[in-house]
Amino acid sequence: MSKPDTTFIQREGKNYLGTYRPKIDAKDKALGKVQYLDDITLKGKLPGMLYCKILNSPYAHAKIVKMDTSKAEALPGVHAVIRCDDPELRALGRTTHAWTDIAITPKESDTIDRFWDRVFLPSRALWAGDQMGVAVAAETPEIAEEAIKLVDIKWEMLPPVYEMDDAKKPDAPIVHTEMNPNSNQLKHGDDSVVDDLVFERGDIDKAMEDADYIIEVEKTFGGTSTHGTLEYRGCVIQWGEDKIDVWTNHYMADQTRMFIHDYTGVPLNRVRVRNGNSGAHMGKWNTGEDTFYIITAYLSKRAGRPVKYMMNNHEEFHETRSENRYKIKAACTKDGRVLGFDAIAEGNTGAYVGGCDHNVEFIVQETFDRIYYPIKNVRLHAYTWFTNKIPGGVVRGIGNVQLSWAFNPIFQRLSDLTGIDLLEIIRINCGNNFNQIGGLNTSLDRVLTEGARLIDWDKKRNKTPGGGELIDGYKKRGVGVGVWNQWHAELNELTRGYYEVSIRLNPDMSIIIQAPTSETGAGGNSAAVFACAENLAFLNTKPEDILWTPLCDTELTLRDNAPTDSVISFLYAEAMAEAAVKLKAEILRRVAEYMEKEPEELDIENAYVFEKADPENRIEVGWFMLHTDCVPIHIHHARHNVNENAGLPYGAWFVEVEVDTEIGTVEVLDMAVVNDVGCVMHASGAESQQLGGQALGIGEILTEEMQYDWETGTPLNNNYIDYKMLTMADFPSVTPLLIEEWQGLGRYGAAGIAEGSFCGTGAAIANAVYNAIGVEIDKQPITPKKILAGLAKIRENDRKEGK
Amino acid sequence: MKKDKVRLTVNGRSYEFLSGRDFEPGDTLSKLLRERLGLTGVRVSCEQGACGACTILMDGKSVLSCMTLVIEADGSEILTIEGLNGKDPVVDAFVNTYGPGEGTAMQCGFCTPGFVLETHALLNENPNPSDEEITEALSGHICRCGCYHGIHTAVKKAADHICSCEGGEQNE
Repeated sequence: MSKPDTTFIQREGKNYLGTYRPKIDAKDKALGKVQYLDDITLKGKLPGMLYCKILNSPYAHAKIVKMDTSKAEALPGVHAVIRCDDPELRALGRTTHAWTDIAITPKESDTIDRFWDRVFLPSRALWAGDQMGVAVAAETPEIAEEAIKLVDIKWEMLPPVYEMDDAKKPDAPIVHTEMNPNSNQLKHGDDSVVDDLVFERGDIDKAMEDADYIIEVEKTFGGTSTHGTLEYRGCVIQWGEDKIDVWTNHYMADQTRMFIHDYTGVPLNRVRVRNGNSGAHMGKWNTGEDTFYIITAYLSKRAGRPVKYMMNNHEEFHETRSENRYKIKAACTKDGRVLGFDAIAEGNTGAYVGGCDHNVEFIVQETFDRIYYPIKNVRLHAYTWFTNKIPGGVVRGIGNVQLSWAFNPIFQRLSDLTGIDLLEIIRINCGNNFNQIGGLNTSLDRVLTEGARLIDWDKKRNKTPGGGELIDGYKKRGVGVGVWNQWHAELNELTRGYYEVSIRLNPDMSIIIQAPTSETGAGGNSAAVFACAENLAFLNTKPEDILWTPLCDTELTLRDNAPTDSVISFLYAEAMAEAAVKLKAEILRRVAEYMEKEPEELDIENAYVFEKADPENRIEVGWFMLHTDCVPIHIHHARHNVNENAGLPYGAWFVEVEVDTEIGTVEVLDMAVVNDVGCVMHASGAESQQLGGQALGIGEILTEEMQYDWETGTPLNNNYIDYKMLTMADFPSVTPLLIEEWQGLGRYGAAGIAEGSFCGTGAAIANAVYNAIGVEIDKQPITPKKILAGLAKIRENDRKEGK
Repeated sequence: MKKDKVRLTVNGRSYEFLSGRDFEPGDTLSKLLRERLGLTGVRVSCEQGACGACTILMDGKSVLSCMTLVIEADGSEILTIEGLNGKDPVVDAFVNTYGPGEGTAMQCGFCTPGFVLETHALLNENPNPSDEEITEALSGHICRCGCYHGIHTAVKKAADHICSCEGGEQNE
């Protein structure tokens, strides 16, 4: 069956921005010319380089009582051994991994709560895999690994705790005694209510009294999936006499520089960090720098050589999407309105804080104002618990993926109770106070209308859950929807402060731009080039005339801008638009001097400067540059985001599934992904995100699940064979549709697409499964076991009711 | 298997490698290609045969170079991504997949050389594969960015290009 035409149509026609065209680095990527950390740090390029290996704790909760490293130190090829009782390391104090992507430095900046729950090489392991105890630097990775095995350790085993309900018990073993000696609960020191986050608006008690129905859900998402990127985290550090050189695949060189400065005391101008391309991100860099940077740095200092640290396949399972559980009561009316939410949100952050706390906090920031603005009465209590599981971290779509999973099902329940179509229930209750016509948010309305059309909602949606025909005697189909707001616009990224770009116009009219960011696949580099060409139309500049320099170097380049929150494309486009204005002014100033005119008397078109009063009096810009001083014209520009709220637009995810009622498998047959992003920067790139994001989105729901041995707390499938990520064989038909309905602030007024590209996917699949077989799954992932248990329960109920 | 000397043709150039000098007996082909020859388009990720990033062509067939010992490759003809150029029809198709509804055939680009070479291996054997045959041939590769739709489209475009060229030659 042929697909409907979903070619993106621009609201405002542009030459390059928002068009379909190849990524600027597509050929280099296809030819393998793009280089990643391991490629730029081959041993041949850094003679004498050593390899670092850090002990991974074999136990979930245990303490080193005694350690003998003499055999490791004596092993030929070992150059340095650093231990958990090392005075220099211990003098560094504690560190944090709390979200630092735009806060920049763990010690000085305080844009978010800091939780000082980590030390470099601790003597106590808090999860099975914790990097702790001892680290070595040796001539080969094999020698380093052998040296770690030669370390003789006497352990004291401590009782572990894995689940948050166990972590709450009064007699539970305490994971972080230094953070909270009496409880596993994460303390929020500056909260008005000790140990608890509370948010309240309106009068939730009255809303409950006024309600015709009170819907209760308990939903859990997280703790089961990870980033799964093919390039692993790492760095090479050379700590010379008066300088530290760092090569890394961290997504923000400047942030790494600040972190290393904080823990070495070396001045910022003596810490040089270089990064570049990153073999995908998926959120893993959003939490602060890992402790391995500092351990590697001190090994380099001791050994007097460059030292390389790279995680391996198992170590990359270093964090999971934070496990969050939401117990929500919704006060609802017969006419399909939600009057209020009374919610308890809890997070299992595992052994360390890495974003989980922000997930529960996100309910306030990311949810109630941005998508549930019409719901006036809200009460929220949020708690975070430490356990001995893999730390909860930031995975692409942080918090929003979990929240969408939890809140979307409430509208389905309300639809069932009232008989009102689910899409209508969503229209009534969701939205913000921007882009309103009457009570309707036009952005939300459009994504729902378009998505329903593409998936054929009216025809394929079963009127009653499970009411569809049985196919081949054992399969059933259903259609579902999830909605969420798009990821971040100008205001949401205000804490980035100033970010810089530059344009260098060469005498031959070719251009070099700096818009430094690690290219993770998000395509900020392509957008910067297209925006530059778009805004240099007066010089007839084309994208192919522009070179984007791919390396971020804290010594040579402008400060880089983290490619997080999927905003980098439009932030750099906004900056380029402003820089182009400056370039034009500078060209006019120089040519005016030459023509003995005032700049105001001149203008530029088709690469000619001309006198407005006498257009025949003109000079070609290229001629001028080549025949005067041949000096490139260089423009530097820094901007920060607009400090005004314009709300956010919406996305809708529609899914058709087929459920095998005999073995419980779920197959996604078709998907329509509709995103209103305000202004598209690169249509091919944005659609690639709409399509590609579903690989992670569907994987987390149907195939990816961390398995543990609960006797020891050991992860069992932390490798890429046993942890099942989607391949081409598993990838369904997906139809992407881009819309420009909402208008944000700035020249272009865009919102992001990449990070949030699957925020509604999980909720939509769950909703489609419910529509197919009448089984509501509360805990992600959706597994055959849960499907079959749900079907068995329905049969049991039918039997009791004599059906 | 013990070999003191290994001869390889890599991207059309002949090499002789000596055990103990150029490689250790336990070294993988990917290590030799990357570290000895600097062919960093050979990407190493999972080192367990799960991701396909390290795929190269050995005598025209796709091989996981991180799962192959140097000594196993003796006498073979190796093609890495560095042996292709921008005129290659598969590379061209991967670059020029960007139309409405296609997305792109790569985002971060780490896995791309492996997919390109696997496509060559497929088209060497089957110049006109069906949708299902494309999917089956490329399902040993992971693209975490999820560009499966774009990659599938690119493989079809490459196959169409190769078929039309071959057809053209026959007509002449």
